[in-house]
Amino acid sequence: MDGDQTPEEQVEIGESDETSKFDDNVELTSVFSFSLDQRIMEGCVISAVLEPDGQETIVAVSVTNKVIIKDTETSLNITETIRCIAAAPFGEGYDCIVIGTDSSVICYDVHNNLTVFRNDVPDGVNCFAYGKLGDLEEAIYCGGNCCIWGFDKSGANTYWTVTGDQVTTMCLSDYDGDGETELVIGSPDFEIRVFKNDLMRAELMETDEITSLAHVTSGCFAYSLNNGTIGTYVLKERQWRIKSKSNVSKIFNFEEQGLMVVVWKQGKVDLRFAHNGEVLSRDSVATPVASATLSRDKENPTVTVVCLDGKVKGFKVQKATNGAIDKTQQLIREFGQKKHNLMVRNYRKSCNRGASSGMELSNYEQEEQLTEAEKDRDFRIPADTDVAVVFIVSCETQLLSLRVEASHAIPIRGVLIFAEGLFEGESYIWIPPNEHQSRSVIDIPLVIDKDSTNDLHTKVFLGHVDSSVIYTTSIKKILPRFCRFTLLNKEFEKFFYMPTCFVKFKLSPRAIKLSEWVSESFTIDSSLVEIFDENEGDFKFMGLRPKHEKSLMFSIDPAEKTFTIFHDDIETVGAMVQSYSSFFQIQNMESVAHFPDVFKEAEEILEEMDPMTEVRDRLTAELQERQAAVREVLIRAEDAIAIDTIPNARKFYIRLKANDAAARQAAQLRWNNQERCVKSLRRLNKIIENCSRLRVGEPGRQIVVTCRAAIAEDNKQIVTKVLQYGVSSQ
Amino acid sequence: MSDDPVIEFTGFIKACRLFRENRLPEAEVVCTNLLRKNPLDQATWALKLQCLSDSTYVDELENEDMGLAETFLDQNVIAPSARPGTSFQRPKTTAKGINPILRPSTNAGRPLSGVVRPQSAFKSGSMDQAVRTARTAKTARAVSSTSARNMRLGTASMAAGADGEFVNLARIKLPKYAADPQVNRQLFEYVFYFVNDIKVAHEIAGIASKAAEFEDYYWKNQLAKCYLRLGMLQDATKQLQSSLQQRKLIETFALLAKTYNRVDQPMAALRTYAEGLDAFSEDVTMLTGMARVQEALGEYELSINFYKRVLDAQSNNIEAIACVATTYYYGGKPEIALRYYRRILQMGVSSPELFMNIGLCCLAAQQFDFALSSIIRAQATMTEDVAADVWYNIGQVMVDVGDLPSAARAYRLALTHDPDHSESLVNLGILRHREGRTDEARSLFGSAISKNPLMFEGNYNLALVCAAQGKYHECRRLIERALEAFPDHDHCKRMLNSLKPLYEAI
Repeated sequence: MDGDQTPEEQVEIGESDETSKFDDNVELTSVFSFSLDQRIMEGCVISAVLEPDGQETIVAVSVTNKVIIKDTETSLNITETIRCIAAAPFGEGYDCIVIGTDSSVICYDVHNNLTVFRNDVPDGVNCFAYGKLGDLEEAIYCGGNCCIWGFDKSGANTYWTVTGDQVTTMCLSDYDGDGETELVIGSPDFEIRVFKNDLMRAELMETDEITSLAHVTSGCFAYSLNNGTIGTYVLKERQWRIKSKSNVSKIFNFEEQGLMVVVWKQGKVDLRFAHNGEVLSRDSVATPVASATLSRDKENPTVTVVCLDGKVKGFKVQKATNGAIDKTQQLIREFGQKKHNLMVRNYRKSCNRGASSGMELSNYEQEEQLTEAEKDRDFRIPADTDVAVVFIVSCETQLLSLRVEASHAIPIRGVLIFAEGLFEGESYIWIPPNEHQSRSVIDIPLVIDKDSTNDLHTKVFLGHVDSSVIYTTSIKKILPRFCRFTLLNKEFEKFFYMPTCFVKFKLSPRAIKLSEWVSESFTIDSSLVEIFDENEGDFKFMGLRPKHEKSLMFSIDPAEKTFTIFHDDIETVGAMVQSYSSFFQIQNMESVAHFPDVFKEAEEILEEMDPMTEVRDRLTAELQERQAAVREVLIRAEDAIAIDTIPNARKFYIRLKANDAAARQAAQLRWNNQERCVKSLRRLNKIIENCSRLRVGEPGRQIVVTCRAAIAEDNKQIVTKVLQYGVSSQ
Repeated sequence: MSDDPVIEFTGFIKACRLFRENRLPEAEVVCTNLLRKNPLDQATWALKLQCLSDSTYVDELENEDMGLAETFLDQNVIAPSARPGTSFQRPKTTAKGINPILRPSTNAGRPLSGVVRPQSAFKSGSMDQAVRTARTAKTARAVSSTSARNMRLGTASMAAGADGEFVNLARIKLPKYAADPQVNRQLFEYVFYFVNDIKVAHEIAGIASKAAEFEDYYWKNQLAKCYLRLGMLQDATKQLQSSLQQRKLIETFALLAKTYNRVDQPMAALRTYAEGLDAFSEDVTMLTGMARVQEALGEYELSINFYKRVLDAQSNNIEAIACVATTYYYGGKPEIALRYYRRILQMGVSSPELFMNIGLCCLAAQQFDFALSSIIRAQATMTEDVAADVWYNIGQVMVDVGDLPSAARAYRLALTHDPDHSESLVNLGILRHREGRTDEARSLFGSAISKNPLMFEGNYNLALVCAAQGKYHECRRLIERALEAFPDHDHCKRMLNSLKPLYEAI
């Protein structure tokens, strides 16, 4: 992606730019519209078959926390706060509604008016996905905070695993095209994670919060981000992405036609090609969209869009009646795109002086016609001017900077760095405060708090202060994953703080050239890298801002063939272990972890969990008692009014007020307790996840499974042991 | 040792014997004496707790007393208006279902059943209406179940512990005693049944369940009982389901089904009963439960079948006999009903209600001599609480034999026993109307409606009077209310249709 923007959207298409082989003579047409007369909660709309041989019906959640079913007087009353809703074919030939609240999953059979199951999920459910995952039976998968649950049709818990962050969206899709479905989840920490059964298969870094995911075809899924990006991944690689200013509400696919429908929150509805994202037809609804569903029961699939204010509009895909007009627009757009691309190329060529020798462009031709004097007057820069972009570490301040240096002391008039997710608002612009302070060397500090590889697209503007022409060069630089650490110099020994925590694992025979991994992942002077190949000794790293107080040490013991990473931050160590193993393609790796603080915290949480649930039970009982009192007084007061004894009624209402206050207080107490409980639970899940990432493959999975079983069986002593030594040592 | 150890020893044995013979007060006195000598004797202490709780024991399964507060301010029901036939709120309204003409309904709007049992969660009309419905000493619905029972049991505990409460719950070291498997059951039952402090009972059960490492089904059931009383139905369901996984017990199935009934999910309750029947085939509790649920859903055929299965298993089950008899009676087979009632009589039950029922059956079967003698016997043995019903039925008999002045007199007598007897008011109104005293009839119908707004007959009859007097607007309002009680009443519908053009003409 470059800095230029087309007014509406910004497109990036991968290599597989195949020509359209689909019948593009289709369009979206509006087929019906009506209103539910209720304000609808965002994201909570589904369509489901609620009775045997029934039609698909719209089911939505109103902002008043009721479940509304279209065309019936029924509105379901759920006592807990609803967060999400789904349909699962658990009935005999019809769907049950699955409701996710802030503390449980309720599966309700509307046809028979019975709760099929109701399971506690302590920290709430954010999203659902129904289907068959890997070799497991069909089940409903619930994404919560840092963990995913799966329940089968009887409500039995068939699946549980932990993940790095809250799960905001999920879909079941065959990610790697091997014929088995994987669970794809999206989180607010910009990552898309792929689980094969309960083993994490891949992590895909995106540039913003993931807002929705959808299965497209085998080996392909679509995603959308909070910043308005939509795109698809095909067989592990991003195929295309498009950026827009509005936010996506929902994506559907029409597998047979190779089309997908994107519904935007602002009300736009697009029909796009699934293979390159190009728009085929557009329509819109007038008001902001709550959500949309796809009904499949008839031959023609219908997309039903439900707006926040309860307006419902249905669209279906059909042969275009006025296809010609659409085609023209399409052509215009294509030409526009071509023109844009050409211009960009031209522009790049003209600017990139380093690579432009022998180019036939006009200004070079002009240049040759100019006299020396003219050139001087023009403050031309020498033809061999070179711009170097390097990472510089200032040990004194423990800061990593990007140094931009122009040869021949040509002043730099500005630097523009584009890097996704690195700076606030995507890009960083440096302009000297006033023209005369332009220098030829510029240090741009990089303070990064994520461990991820990143591309820095740097544009440097050169030119003399009085020159009317600015020369631009563009350089791409890859930021290593662990650029926050650098090899320690002897003289800065004072900045080394010996870490107390470590993870130790057997050196894999595959990992012969450790230097390759180190030079790819760390900011390191290439001359120093070779010491890593000796496979012996301690290698000390200094932490850079913002982690300047945490140091890192590798210790390789050739006798025992062990590799130990000393560092205090468990997440970073986990990332290093994963990066190490994927670099050397290690499938399974066991390790011993030593993180006293983390284990102590886990132990504390496990300790206080029991008393906390007890207190919660007691507080709940108390709350119920108070609420019963409120109800009783209310009836008595009504009764008093009914028999016209106003003084009594007055007395009861005063009592009602007191009781109500007491009930509120009890509710507040219970809420506080619940909040704490959920918080520590979330933290515990996170710890388990971090510890499982210190291992690779099966041993990591085993840790999650064993911890879960240990907690369920109240066998808490074992948990920290497992976290520390892994499962096989038991 | 030098004192009389023998007497002390017999003392506890004596208490145990008395307890076994169910002579609870005496056993309690012996225990009290023993405890006075040695207040730390845990065995005696536990025995005394058991004596106290047994004397106030209530069967939690049958304890279906729903107060107004629970009925109208309940939030546990998921679907307030589910598909007819899947909810107690909306029984089937087909011909075989609720039909107030073929089968009268109770004061609370339920179809009449063979036995009086605590009202289940039937909610009709608004809370306002329920509050306005006459609640006398006989027809009272408690404001809330907790307060009602508190009041009743509170007096019991006052009587028993005149010299102060036996166990001071505020002072006792709950965690210690509740975790002790020797005494915790007794302590729990004492707190639950005798003191009726559900919050403390819940705490005890919680601690005890934990001490038993969550593997004792008994404590799970007790926790569920506490949750049921506290109105925390979801937690109750959870405990019961987990209890069932450990051990299948009739009590647990029944409690679970009861919980489902409370959240108005009869289908789930029926499923639970069926599971119970799988584990305990032909169990009376399960079958009775199913029969009751089906009856409440208006499926009389199915209900009777279940009651018949109950009778196959337990031929002296009075509830089953009475329900079968009632259904036969209202199904137009009074002779068969009579045989069932006679069976009850043979088993030694002789209540005025039974004699009255036999009398009515005889009357319907044209056996007038028997009818009169039975009715006379019912009249002779009747107590104040059924007097109104007995006189009302006598009135019916008088109408049947054509003695209208006597019938009117019988209705008036019924009303002196129970001024809120709305059926008598309606029938008296009809007799007055026949006599041409329309205004009097109107006021009688009016007061019947005000006593029981859900009543079909009151609304319908007043509507007829209004139509005759040309008060079409009022008539229409009344007919609409009557149709609420009996949606399929043909004449009402026709009247409504004939009123419509009058409105359109304006």
